Amino acid sequence: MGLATYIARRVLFSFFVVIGELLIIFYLTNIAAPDPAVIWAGPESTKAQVALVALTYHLNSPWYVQFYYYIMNVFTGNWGTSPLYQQPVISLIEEYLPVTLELTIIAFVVKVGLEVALGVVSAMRPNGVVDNVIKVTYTTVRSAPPFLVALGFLLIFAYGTHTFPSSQPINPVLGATVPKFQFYNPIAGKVTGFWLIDNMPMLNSLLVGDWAAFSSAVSHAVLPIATLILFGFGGIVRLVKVSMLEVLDQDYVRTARAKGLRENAVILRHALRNSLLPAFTLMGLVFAGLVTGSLVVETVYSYYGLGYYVAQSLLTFDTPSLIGTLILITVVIIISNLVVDVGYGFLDPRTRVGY
Amino acid sequence: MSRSSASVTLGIIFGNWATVAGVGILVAFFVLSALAAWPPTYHLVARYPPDSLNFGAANAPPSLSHLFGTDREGRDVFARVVAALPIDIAIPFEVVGASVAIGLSLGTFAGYLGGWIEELVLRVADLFFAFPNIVLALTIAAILGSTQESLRVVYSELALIVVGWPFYTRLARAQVIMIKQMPFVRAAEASGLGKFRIVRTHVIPHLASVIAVYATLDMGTTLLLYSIFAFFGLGVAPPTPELGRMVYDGLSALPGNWWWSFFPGLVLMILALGFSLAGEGLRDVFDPRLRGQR
Repeated sequence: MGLATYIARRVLFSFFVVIGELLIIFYLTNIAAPDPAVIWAGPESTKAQVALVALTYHLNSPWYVQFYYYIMNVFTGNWGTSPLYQQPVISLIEEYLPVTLELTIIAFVVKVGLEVALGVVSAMRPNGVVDNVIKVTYTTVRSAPPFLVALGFLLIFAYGTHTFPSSQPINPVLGATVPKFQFYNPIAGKVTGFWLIDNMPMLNSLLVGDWAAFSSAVSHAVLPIATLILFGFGGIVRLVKVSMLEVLDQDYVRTARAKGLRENAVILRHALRNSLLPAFTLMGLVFAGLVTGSLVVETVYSYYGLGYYVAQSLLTFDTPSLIGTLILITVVIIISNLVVDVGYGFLDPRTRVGY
Repeated sequence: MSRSSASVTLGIIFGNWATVAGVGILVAFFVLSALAAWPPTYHLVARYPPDSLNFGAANAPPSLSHLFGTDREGRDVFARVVAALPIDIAIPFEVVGASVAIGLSLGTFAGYLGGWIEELVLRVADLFFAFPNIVLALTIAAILGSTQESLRVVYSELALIVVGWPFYTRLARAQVIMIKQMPFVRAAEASGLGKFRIVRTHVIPHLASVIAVYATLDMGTTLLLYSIFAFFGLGVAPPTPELGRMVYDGLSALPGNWWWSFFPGLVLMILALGFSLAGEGLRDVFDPRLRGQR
């Protein structure tokens, strides 16, 4: 099967996943729920508000009419109004998403790099001292609930040594150049006019050239990123180690050694590439894990990103916000899975056979 | 062979200190939670009742009388941790048990019968597998539980089962495809046994060990996931103690009262570590290929 057909089938399947999830959500909110209007209006709302919501969401119509408006609204970007913030969900997402995206992408890159390096190191001398130390470390760390790690860092590095700040993505006084954090200075520090980049605290302050804000944003991000890296730590380490051991056993590695290559060259140039292939399949899962972790991590550090927003919506049962963010997160994760699958199909033609 | 296979098995289990530690942790926690769950033996493990308010002793740091300190209302954190154990241990068992039951039955029949049934089951499982499962589960639990506080824990468990079963379906199906090619299954077919009987008496016993390994490993993960649900208030209704929720409540008392949130989190971690060490030990027993590779 050609790569094009493979990609087409993956895209089609991803589309069905999104539709499937929309169906589940619609079923839960509009059919299974005892009182759909209360679900959409929020548990604290008054009778008049509930009635208004029932009218705007067409909740008194038959289910297929409701479904029509629901689907139309999803695809036209009309994702409802948050009862907690009294703002359209879509504009809240615009505000919160970039902050988390920046945090998650940095954490992802550092995490993958670190875990691959540790995997290679532990494959050099299996069951040696270094391997065992790494093993014990990640077995312990991955058993820790994300809030415990966050709490530990908070107690030690924020409240204990005062090395890093304990909350918020940026010092509000310094955050004037980042549109989302203009608490004190109303003059927008817009660079690109593109909300996704302008609302990233680190990138925006860097682009504006506001060094005080940049260093503040970086120091605020250190603890959340460190916590995210440790969430579910070790999966890649283990996979890289196992596949590295397998690859090191193969003939072409022996040939490389036989022709007198230095061990570093054998490992880094010959063995590493092939042993990374299995780990590549984990990337989608790792990214999805980081998104989940960000809910807890951003709550503990009051880091005002998407995870914080979802957490607040969970705690206050703000359903429109929850559904909007769920759709968004689904799409982001599905796209990342798609990229991983297509990339894998590209790197290893054998996988295309199964589709 | 001088050693029987049972003694080899025992040798693998006890030859590995990590597995021993894992099983030890689990046994200790099971005993502790059994004692805590039964009112007549409760006082053997904790000195104070879990929900007796004592504002005079509020925010007391860890000491001999209050091992884990007290919370804002002066409740003994150790007593609350102990009282939370039965719930926090039972929930992973319920969730993983139900996921295994659904996944095992669907996956076995899909793999054994093949054809359009297999295709359908696999596609549906793939669909659920592709969702960002935890966020989906949290949303399901929040939507269903928003109006009914007492049912939140049930909805949280249901949500975890909804995202948990596809894994076991795929695992069981992959195993069954292998097993059904084996001579003893062919022999059973030739002797005219019914399909359900073959699956029940010949196929399922063969994949039980693999399922048990992954279920044990999954138990620790489910414990941590459920603690995230409890953290966000989607667990049992207060004032019933719950480890994840205690961490969340304790956060509001930082930086002063750190013990309120720290110790429940630490206990969760040790419990999850127990499941993961025991699960990996089991995997070494049942899957010799992976022995020593972790």
